[in-house]
Amino acid sequence: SGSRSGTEVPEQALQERAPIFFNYHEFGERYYADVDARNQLREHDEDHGICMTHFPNVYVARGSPEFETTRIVRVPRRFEVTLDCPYFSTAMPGMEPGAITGEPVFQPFGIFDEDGQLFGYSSASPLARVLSVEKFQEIVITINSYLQNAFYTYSWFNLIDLLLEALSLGLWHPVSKYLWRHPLVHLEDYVQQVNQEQEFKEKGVKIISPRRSGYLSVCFSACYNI
Amino acid sequence: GRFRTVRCRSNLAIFTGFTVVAPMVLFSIFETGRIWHSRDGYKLLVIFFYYFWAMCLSFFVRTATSDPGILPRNIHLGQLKRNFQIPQEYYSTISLPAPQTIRGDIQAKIELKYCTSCRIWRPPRASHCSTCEACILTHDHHCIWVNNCIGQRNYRYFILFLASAILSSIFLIANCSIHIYHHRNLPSKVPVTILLLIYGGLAIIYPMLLLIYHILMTGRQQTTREFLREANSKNPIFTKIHSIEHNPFDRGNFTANMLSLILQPRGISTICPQERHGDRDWRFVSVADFHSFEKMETPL
Ligand SMILES: CCCCCCCCCCCCCCCC(=O)O
Ligand SMILES: [Zn+2]
Ligand SMILES: [Zn+2]
Repeated sequence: SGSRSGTEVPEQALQERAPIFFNYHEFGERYYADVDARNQLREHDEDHGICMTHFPNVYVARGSPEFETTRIVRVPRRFEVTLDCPYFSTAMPGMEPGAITGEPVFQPFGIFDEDGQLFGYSSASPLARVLSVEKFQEIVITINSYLQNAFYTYSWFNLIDLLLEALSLGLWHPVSKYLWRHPLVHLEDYVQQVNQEQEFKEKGVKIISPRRSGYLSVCFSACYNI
Repeated sequence: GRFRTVRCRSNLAIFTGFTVVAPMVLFSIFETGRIWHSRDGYKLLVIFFYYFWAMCLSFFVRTATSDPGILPRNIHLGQLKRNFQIPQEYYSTISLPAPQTIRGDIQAKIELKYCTSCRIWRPPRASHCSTCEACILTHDHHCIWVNNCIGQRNYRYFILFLASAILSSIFLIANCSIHIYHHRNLPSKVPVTILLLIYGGLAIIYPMLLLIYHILMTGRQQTTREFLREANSKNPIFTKIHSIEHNPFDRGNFTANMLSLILQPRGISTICPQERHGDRDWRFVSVADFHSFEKMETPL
């Protein structure tokens, strides 16, 4: 295990080095309890910090049973490919170029946070336990393509919408709702459809509506404490 | 959105609305009838005035009341522990590769910041508006005259508002000039026409300056916020617009840059004010931050 937060790197060296992509949602923690000593919170050394790879499920009400049992794995946004639309990392969390390597698969070592969540030493995400890499990539690539279509500046949808809006003095806006669906609504349909799949239902995995998460990250909710 | 418009009503937005409505009322009372029944045959100019005036009012209302691109809150909450303490890593600005990083310009990078108020990793070009208390997508600026932020979802309405304000002023000036010309021997007979002519001349200045600035800024692939930060100034007027070096958004072409910002797709609103939500919905939970807590406790 290692740490990316090398803040001691001199400014000059930083400027010369091209940035590397990593999952910026992850963070480290050294004050936690070991899995075999549940109730003993203690400070660990630098090589034994745990890496936070899953987070509270903020998409369900606080204190609800679903909140207690499920956690969120966040797939970060990536910017090398395009800046025209939200584009999500197609690397399985833990396999980004700048990920903290160590155990290649999620292996819990530490217990942290209020509800006794399990974490490992590396960026390896528990998402890989419930979803194959192929399925994961298929989903994110599809989501990205929906977004690319919806945010293409010179699409007929965008241009005609603007033209009609301007000429009709804004009257087009309330009418358009009944005449055509926004391309981003098709993405919502796709996500709902994936959530209905047998595999997802059996494993209790759910993709959070991208609209609900503000297109900030693709969030997978599931019970990862298994 | 419903709750935004109620909360954000202010005197300045009402004042702006008044400056748009007032000349139309005066024009309708004192000009339209006379021009329409005269045989000078410039009815078309009157129609154009009304058309652009209606456009101006409509897009003023749209700019002021639509969602500028508000991002939901608390999406990227790190932990529940220690009163939702923000991890140390989330306080630093991080650099990630941009498209140009791959094409060779390794100094082109995307800087990402975590908004400690909204608890989200803010996308590039989004920024937090302290008046609206939210992060806004492709944030241009908070406009006090419309009492709303100008961002990704209402930028086109804002530009249309400025453009139609200019056009309606032009047609107001044209109509009044012709009318005054017909009474050039006795201008004291048309005092309101003279007043409207002066009004049109004044009302055109500010929107015109703003529109020119927005064209020049977008052509250099900058939002007002980015431009002011680069120029290190609070007053945009008389500040020269320079290109930002290693701007990852730059398309290297004035027109392509301008169109990419003015025509930017709006996306859909991610806050649905009509939608019912429980009081335990995290988007509306105020996550107590140690710092804001401290601030609240200091006596005023
Ligand atoms: C007959 C038409 C009259 C038109 C009246 C136009 C009123 C112009 C008001 C312009 C407001 C522009 C808002 C700018 C916001 C900002 O940059 O802070
Ligand atoms: Zn914010
Ligand atoms: Zn604002």
